[in-house]
Amino acid sequence: MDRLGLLFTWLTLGLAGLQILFLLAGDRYTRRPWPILGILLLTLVLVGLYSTKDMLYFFLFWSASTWLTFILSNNPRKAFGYLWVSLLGEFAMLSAIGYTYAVTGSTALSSLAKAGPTAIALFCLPFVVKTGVIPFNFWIGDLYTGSDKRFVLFLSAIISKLGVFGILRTVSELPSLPNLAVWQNLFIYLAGITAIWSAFKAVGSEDAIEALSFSSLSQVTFIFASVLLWSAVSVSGAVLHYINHMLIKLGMFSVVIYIWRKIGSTEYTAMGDFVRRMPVSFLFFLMLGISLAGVPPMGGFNSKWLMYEAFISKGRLLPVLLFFVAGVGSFLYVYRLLHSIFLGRKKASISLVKEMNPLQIIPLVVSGLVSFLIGAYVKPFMGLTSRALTGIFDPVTITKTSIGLVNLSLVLEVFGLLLGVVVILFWILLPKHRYAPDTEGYTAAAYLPEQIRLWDYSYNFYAPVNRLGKAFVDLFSLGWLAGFWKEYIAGLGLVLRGLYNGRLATYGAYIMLTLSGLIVALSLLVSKGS
Amino acid sequence: MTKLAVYTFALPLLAGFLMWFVGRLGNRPAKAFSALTSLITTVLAGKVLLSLLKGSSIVVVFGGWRPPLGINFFLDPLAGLWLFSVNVLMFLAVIGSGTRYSWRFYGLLMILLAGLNGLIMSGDLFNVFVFFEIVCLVSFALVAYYRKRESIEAGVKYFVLGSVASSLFLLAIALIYGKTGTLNLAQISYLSNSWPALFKLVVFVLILVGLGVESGVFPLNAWLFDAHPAAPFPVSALLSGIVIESALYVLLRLVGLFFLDKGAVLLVGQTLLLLGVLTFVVAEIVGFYQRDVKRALAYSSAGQIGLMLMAFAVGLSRPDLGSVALVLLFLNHLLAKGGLFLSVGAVSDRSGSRDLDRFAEECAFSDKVVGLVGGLSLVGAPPFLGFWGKVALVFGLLAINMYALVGIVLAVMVLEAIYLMRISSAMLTAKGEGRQDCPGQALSLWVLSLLMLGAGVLAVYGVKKGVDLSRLRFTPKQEYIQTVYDVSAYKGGVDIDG
Amino acid sequence: MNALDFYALSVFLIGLGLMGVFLNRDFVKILISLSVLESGVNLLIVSIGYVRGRIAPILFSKELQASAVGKVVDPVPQALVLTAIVIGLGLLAVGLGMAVWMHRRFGTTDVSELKDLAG
Repeated sequence: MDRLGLLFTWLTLGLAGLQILFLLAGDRYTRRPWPILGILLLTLVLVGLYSTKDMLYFFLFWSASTWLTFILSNNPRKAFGYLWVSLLGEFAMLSAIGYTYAVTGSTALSSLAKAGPTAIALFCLPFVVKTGVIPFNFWIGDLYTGSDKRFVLFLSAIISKLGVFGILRTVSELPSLPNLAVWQNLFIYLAGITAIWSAFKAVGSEDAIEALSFSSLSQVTFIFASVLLWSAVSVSGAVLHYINHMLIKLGMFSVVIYIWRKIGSTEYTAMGDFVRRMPVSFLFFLMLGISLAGVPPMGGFNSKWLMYEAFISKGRLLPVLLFFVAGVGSFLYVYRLLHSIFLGRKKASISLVKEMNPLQIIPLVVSGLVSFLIGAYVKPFMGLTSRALTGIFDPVTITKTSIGLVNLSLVLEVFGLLLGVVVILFWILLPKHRYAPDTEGYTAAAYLPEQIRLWDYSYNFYAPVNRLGKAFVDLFSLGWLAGFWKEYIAGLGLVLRGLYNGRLATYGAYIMLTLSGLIVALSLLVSKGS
Repeated sequence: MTKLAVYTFALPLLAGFLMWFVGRLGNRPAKAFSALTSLITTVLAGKVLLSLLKGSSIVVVFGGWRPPLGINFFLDPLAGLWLFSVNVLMFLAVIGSGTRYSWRFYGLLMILLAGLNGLIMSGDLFNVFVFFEIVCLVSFALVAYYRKRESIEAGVKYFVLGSVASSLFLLAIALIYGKTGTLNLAQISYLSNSWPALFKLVVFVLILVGLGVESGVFPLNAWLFDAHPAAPFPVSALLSGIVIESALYVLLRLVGLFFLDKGAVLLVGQTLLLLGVLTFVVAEIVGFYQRDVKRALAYSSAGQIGLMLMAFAVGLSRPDLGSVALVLLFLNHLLAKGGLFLSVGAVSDRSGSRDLDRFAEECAFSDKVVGLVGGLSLVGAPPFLGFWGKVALVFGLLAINMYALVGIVLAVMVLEAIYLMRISSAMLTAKGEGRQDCPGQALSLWVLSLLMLGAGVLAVYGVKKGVDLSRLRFTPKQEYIQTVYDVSAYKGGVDIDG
Repeated sequence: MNALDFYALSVFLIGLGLMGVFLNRDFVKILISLSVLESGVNLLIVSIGYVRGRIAPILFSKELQASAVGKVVDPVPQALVLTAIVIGLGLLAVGLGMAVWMHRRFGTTDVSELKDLAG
């Protein structure tokens, strides 16, 4: 297996291992053999995917991973959209393979170059679909929120980014860059819009898993666009962000899933003030959140910095703006996550939670620490990505900014130190808050527990932002398009169903019509031919 | 070896008639007897297949009268494979039929098996007609087996349409005899080169319509969709899995022998391609909107027949892709649809409803396994046979530059995938813990699932190794005529003795 | 009558039978039309095998057995028709059985009442 494949293999294996550890260390429900075995199987399939350079095998593994994901998500009704749109992409890939085989006689990835840019574009369609770039974004919410909660972590950490790997593998195998500038630009902009759209969705969400899902989409589209840009810096940044995002989602999802097991819900209104019971989790969740928002000294900053740098140095300022807006959104939803889960008003559910047990908290701790390392000591990780991309790009190191000769690592370390100092100062100097006791007694205006949305501060947290973005979000959610499609196909289906109206007379007429029609048609054709 | 081939037809016929006596002992002995018979014929067919794969085609001569004066059976590797598959599915269907059916049912199944086996092997139009009639007649009776309102309705419609089709086929045979003076397939094939165009055309359409009704070609397949839901589930499995395929087999065999001379190939190919596409597209779109599970599966069957027609048409110009696709699609459909009907049918019988939302109330584990594996295989998920068959078909269509067709076919395949996975997932997510009526059902379902999985693995292995499937095709005209000629009365003089 | 007359007659019967099968509403009438259709086809087959001036291919005497070839009509279509007649008999039997059950279940033999299964 080549270096690129090896990197992804190790990352996937590592993540699968940590997730399985988390599941095994949980309770009886999370310890069930399925989906743990399913995740292992899927990992194996993915290792196969990472290792192949042959289009047909690639397709095989890609298909298998799609089906396995569908099965593991365990909610066929909600996963349908994902399934059929993936199938659509796969058939495009298949057409490309068939065409390439017909033209070149080979099924190696490199032969796509001889088949032409259309074949390459068709082959890469499933990658766009899997990533979830508009217009292929409508299935993400359903799939993630409906998915089996034990699987959604893997879904978000690895499966969401398979499209990224696909593009990396395909383009790196081509002997020269294809002339697909139009598609490249189109999808970079679409990715930018998708990033903003999903950031809005995450901001407006009332459910932790939904927020994390759309957050994934937001980050992954940024990674995808960086890969599409195809420069040494952008791809290095993309790979580094892949690693970062994987760790972030590993940690965050473990916390949310653990909480779900304890309190039975993932809605924000059911959680609150968990910092009292889960301080360690809070600390690492905070670290991961800072990374997700792209703030130093955590790793997210480095990768996002690289990607911004790449776009700026190529003069693509509009995408930078788009992704920056999405980045602002990420600040918002990260804070919402933190606040709604750990801070804020205490709910009845707090009595059900306590800190995660030592084994279970390992993935969270590992991801937090590694994220910090990526932030503070980024050199070895840059070396990792450069090694993986040998032969494709020259090595990239973060030492110089685009404005001058400044040692960025040093800057980050100093910044991190300063930040730490500030935090400690705040802790010591500012007055401590006191907890206001809950009133158990009668109040004239009773707080009805079932009307939590009326009095919970956490609900509709970003109301102004939601109002601002509603039209934009609705436009790109494509619900109106689905309505058109349903009516049209349903119409066709109705007409065709009418053919089989159950009457023997009609069916007999079909026989006679076919008989006479074929005779007439064929004799006409024969006489025309001769 | 030639004798073995004949016994695949003779034994079930005998068993069918003996069932009258065995049935005196009860229904379960009858079921066991028919299972034993079909097992024996499966083994025999397997041996025949092995010898065919190693050697060359077999011609069985009857009564010492050499063709074309006498009657012969003709078996090429494809026929051997078809024969074997038919017997396997019959065996599995008998075992998996549960405890509900009487000795009369199993007697009919045995006669059906005899008819099918004979149909596949026939080298003579007379035999083709007779065996075809046996198959049709028994199918009519089996569809209406329950004698409920819907069974009678389905049975009557099937009966009328099927009988007319048989008469049309007989008319075609009459015309052929009038023109050529013989009923031997090889001799007719030889003489068909000099048929005038109009005559050829009329006979082609008559055969197409006559056999197309039984095969399930659009728009002649309306009876299919009523017959499958109403029939007992083993019958549905057999109808979908082997009866309509065997009718298609005969149709394609005859088309291949009589109508594929230089001038007509293009026209025949285009007609079959068009019919195939129409069959597939209409069946799948209508199947998408079905709420009755068995009816939906029936539409899927018609769709697969359409794909097989297309594969044959592709195979006319690209035999390496078309014939391979045909064989793979056939095997895939036989296993997957057989398995799906055996499980879905039993499950819906148990729950009392065939509605999508309610049929899967009690699913045993073996039902879920077949639901998953069969569904995936049918839809074309790798690495199952269906995937390779569909890939070969798509590649074949691309190779003959039918790009628009490829787009349509792929889009409709997505629709098919959706409604089939709906059914599979309904079974997978069933809450109740059902039990099979008898262990045989679980056994047959497991065997089918393992066969599908094994076939998938073998297929990957085969593709990697570059296994040559080119022998599994309808023997081309010249070779067919030559093979029969080599044992005929013409070679070495007219020798009628011995 | 020559062969052409028989052909024309059989075509007429076939047409009559087809029309009867598809235009009749009563199932028994459909069965009768089916029989007419089959008779038409059988007639066609037999008349194809007819050779003017010859006798039926039944070898009832020794000398006939020796010189049959020049004296009898074509026996193959006769054999085919015999079989076809029997098959028609079987079809009719099954059809009549279905007609009986149809009357029991639907109260009528009108096939336009068969409209439960559709779509």
